[in-house]
Amino acid sequence: MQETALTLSTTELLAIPALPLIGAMIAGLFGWAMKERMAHSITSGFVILSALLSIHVFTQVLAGASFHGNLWTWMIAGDFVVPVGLLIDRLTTIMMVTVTVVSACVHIYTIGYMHGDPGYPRFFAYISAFTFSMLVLVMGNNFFTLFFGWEAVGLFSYLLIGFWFKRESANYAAMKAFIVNRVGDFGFAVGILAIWYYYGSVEYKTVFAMTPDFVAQNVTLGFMGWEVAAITFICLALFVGAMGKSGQVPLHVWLPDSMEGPTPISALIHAATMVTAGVFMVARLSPMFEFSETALVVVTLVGAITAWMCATIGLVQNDIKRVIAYSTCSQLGYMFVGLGVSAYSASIFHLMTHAYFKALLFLAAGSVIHAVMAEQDIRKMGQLRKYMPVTYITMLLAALALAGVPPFAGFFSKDLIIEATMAREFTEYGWVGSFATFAVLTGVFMTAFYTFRMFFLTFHNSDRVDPHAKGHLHESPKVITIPLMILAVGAVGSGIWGVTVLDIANPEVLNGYFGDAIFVMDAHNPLMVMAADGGVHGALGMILHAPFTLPFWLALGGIGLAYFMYFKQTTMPAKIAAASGPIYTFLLNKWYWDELYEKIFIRPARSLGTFLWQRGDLGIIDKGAIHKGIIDNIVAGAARMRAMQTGFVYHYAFAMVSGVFVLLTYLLLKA
Amino acid sequence: MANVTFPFPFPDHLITLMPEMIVAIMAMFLLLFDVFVAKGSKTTAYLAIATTVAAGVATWSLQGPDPLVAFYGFFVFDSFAVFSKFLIYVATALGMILSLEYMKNEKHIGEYYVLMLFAMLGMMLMVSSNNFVTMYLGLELMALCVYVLVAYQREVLRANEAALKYFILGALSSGMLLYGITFLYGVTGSFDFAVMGEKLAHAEGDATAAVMLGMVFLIAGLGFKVSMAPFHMWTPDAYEGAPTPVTAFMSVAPKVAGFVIFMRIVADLLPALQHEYQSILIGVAVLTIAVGNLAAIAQRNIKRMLAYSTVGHVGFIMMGLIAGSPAGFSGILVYLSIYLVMTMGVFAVIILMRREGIQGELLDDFAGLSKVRPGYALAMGLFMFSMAGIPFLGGFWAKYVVFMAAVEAGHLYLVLYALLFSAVGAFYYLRVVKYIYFDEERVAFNFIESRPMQATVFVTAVTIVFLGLFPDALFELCRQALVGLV
Amino acid sequence: MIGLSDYLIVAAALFSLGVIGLFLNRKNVITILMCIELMLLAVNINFVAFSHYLNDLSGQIFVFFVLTVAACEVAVGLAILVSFYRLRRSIDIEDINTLQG
Repeated sequence: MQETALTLSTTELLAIPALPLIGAMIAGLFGWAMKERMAHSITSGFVILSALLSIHVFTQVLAGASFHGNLWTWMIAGDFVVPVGLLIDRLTTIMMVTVTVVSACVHIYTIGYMHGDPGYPRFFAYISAFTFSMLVLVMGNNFFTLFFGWEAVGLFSYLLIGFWFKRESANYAAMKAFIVNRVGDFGFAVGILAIWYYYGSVEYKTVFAMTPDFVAQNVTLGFMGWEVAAITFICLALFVGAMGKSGQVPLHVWLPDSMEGPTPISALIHAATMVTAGVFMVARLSPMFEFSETALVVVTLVGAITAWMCATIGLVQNDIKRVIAYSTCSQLGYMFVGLGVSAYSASIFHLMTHAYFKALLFLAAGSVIHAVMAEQDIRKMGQLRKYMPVTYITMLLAALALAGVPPFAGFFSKDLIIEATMAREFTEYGWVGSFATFAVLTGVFMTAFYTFRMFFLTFHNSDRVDPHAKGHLHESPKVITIPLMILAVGAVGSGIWGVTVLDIANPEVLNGYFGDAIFVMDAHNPLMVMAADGGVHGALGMILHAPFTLPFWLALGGIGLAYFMYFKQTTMPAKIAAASGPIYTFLLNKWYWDELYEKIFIRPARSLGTFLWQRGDLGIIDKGAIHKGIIDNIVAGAARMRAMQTGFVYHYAFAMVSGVFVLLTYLLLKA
Repeated sequence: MANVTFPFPFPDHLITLMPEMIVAIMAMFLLLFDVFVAKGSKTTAYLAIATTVAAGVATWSLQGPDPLVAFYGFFVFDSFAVFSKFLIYVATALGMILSLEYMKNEKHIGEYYVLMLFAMLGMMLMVSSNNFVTMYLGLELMALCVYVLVAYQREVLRANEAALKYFILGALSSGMLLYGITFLYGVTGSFDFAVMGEKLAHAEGDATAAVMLGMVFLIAGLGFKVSMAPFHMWTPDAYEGAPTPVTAFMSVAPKVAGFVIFMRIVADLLPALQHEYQSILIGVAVLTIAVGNLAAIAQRNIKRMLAYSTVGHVGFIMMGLIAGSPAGFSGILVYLSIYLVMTMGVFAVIILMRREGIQGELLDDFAGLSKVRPGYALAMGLFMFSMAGIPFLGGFWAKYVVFMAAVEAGHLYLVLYALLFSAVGAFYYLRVVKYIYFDEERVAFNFIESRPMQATVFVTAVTIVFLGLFPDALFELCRQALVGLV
Repeated sequence: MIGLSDYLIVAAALFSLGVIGLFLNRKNVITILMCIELMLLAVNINFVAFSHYLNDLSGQIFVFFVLTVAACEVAVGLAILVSFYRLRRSIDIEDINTLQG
């Protein structure tokens, strides 16, 4: 165990993930015997405590402390050692604070939102256990704790999406999330296997220290006929995992569907924390990704495509949660663009601000849904500002932050990413840089438009609320509005705070705030380039500079267009939709991704399964063919092999004999 | 070979066979005991369970640092055999516990437990064999008993049909096995694995063809016992038709015995032919993994689904054989141990759900289990997640060790393929969880209330979680078990 | 002069007859039992032939085991078959097909 000058208390560090776990266990095991009050007090209390401890650790780390060490050995099997240890540095603490603070707000909010639900204690047990898993994911010092957290958050996400199991769609969405994530996890597992294979260690620090030498040795591996640098292979495999978890094209399809889960889950897991695990992972592994330009290009490209495509889909969605969900995909795309262009600090910064304002958007949307009797269609809302002023104002702040209007949080982080994208030039695939620039710029406009489209349709425009729900309209109770206000503080202030207090964007100190937690090669540090161009200023500087930049006007333009279409000329949207016909349908159907998957993967898999199973598949096997002689028999038998389980013993025996025959022929021919 | 002088070899020899003799004598005793004393009461069953425990104690007391050899090398008692024997004891004892309630209305139930004991004896001989004669006798003793066990419910048509199919194909497979052995014998002039291995290394000319012939038939014959595709086709039918406790028993114990013998053969007999047997096994594994995982998707009957899932697992276990390294072999033992625990647990839950008329076998029957019996539901969920290889449950480590071994042996593509199919496999395991947790109850549940079986579910579930969190003790055990082999 | 290979060829022919009979025959299960017996006898011929030419007795000893086991096997097989016949009233192979898929 090695510790650095300013020591952190191990007990305190361990308490941070342990507290939510204890809460989850109590609520999970004894929930049946508890009153609602008991269940939520225990879990929320522990999570709030955990949040306070995280903030304390954060301040200590800000003062220069850090911790890296193995606490105990989980298992030893021969030369294979899996230690359990913590790596606490500036990257970790910023994640810890974000996770625990948002989680605490969501816990409190849930008290009001899930009141009276039969699964009340179970819900609290799940979200506390989720918080624990997420903390393990960010705090670990090796790939195994990362993997553990990675799988555990996926599991709880699955359980929570399907929480309302009586809804068929919730079931379906849970399955979909799980299966798509399995695809991602497959890549992730391959990446970790490869690391173990090449490095013989799973500890971050050891692997990072070995990477430069490893790259210098130019290790390659043959993959489907190509020679690929091993480092590129590892990074890309891990990135596939990140794509699954963080909803990047083409593995994004589960994220919008996951909105079938209760709204607090959408806020906590599918906006603020779990989906950002991929971003965190790439930033954590910056000492590896930096050595593979190919991997960075792929990250940029995938991020840019996602940012742009999901924004276009968001333009036309009518379900309030789906608009926000596509916006989440799109913003995650921004973060990956930031990572790809080596502006890791900007990405993590955006991750943090996004966590606050996106969680706020979701929770406010939940508050709205709650008020209009579980209606989620924004076409059936309107004029809600009269009934729910707190929700209205907090959501406005969140919308401004998301649209990137200065001085709200999203402005700073998004602006940094955009500037970095413009500054970065890839040596080989130059067009990717240009495309990314195009995507993030147009994305700003679309983001502002769909956010305010949703906002105006919900709170302004004409009153289209169902008369039945009308009598029910009211502002949500305090347990719901207080978390909204807490998060609103984050949505407004976290940007300025990040730029001023944390000095995130300051290139003078490499990577500003993050120090050695993130590694960037000087050659492609976009922040350095920007500094050379005189492009980075303090908070005030950025705000004052904003009116001279394109993104600012794009954002205002988007808001303005939304204002025009949904305030002034309210007949226009329908006309545009009608005029743009196929494009509109194309977007409304989310680029037909689901249909595509249905065609390419799901149907063949299903029919292959049926095929192998169904007896006979009588179309192929004609029972009459049996007696036509041996030749016919062999031909029919070959076909029969494919439809194996016929129920007839002689078919089974034939399969066995054919198996022997094939193996024998193969061997004798080879010899 | 043991240092024994010829005229009076028996005392030394017999002590090595103490566990086998205990089982054989007890089985014969119980046969009479049931007819004259117990008369179909449960006493026979309890004594049979006690016999497995006694065999375990005997095995434990015999084991030492050095392997024991008896009957001039026909019978070995090394740490490898000890470990696999313990797996077999556990599987048999659990199989008997699961039978207590399920089979209680059958006539002449005493014989049922005697047959299980004899099947166990056969497997014990198999795992201790170092020679084709012993192996063949053990294998047939096991197989003949299992055929009868499958058909034990004489008034049930599908049980009889299952047994008949199993029997016919089993006879075909042992014919192939023997035919293969004849050629290997013809080339080497011996039945002893080690001696044959030595001679096979120098086979040339015409002999090579005979060796290939022998090897393919041998792999086919043994592959049948462990359900490798395309020799797996009896599996779903036999699993579905057999009484559920027998299904549980036969999905674990014979697989253990079969893979153990496979490992002995690969390690002792075929090292010179590594290239050839690997290429065969790779082909078979590719097919096995695909067939098992794909066909399972389309099943509605959980026993049938588990049969295909077994085939899939067998495909994964084969990766350890293909690796052919100590890591691969210990991986197989790890996999078998964890597979034993999961499978027994799953079947215990299935049997607990047996109803009048319907037998709790259709997936639909599991709908809404979580509302009625959250404990069973949780256990079932754990087993399913574990079988799917979700970290960090036992099943994850099982896959992990064999995959790692295969990667180290240079079979990266095979592992990628297997990983892909294990992701496919996750789908049908998960569907069971969906039924349990996310669906409404369709038919009223009517559970068997049996303490021993509930205890089985509890213990297996806890073990799976425990092994998921602390697998290293098992890894270490399995590695040490190999000392005698490689 | 009759050599080893001649014996092997006869055995192979018998074995193939047994195997082919097993899946070509669609009539009844008794024939299958006979086919199985045929296979095992082919095996025995192989053993004896090899044993003779290798001058090694163990092959012939194995034959005794095979014969004994084959007898047991047929006994068990017939017992199952009788039990099956009682329920199904048929021993046609085509009728053994309720379990499938």
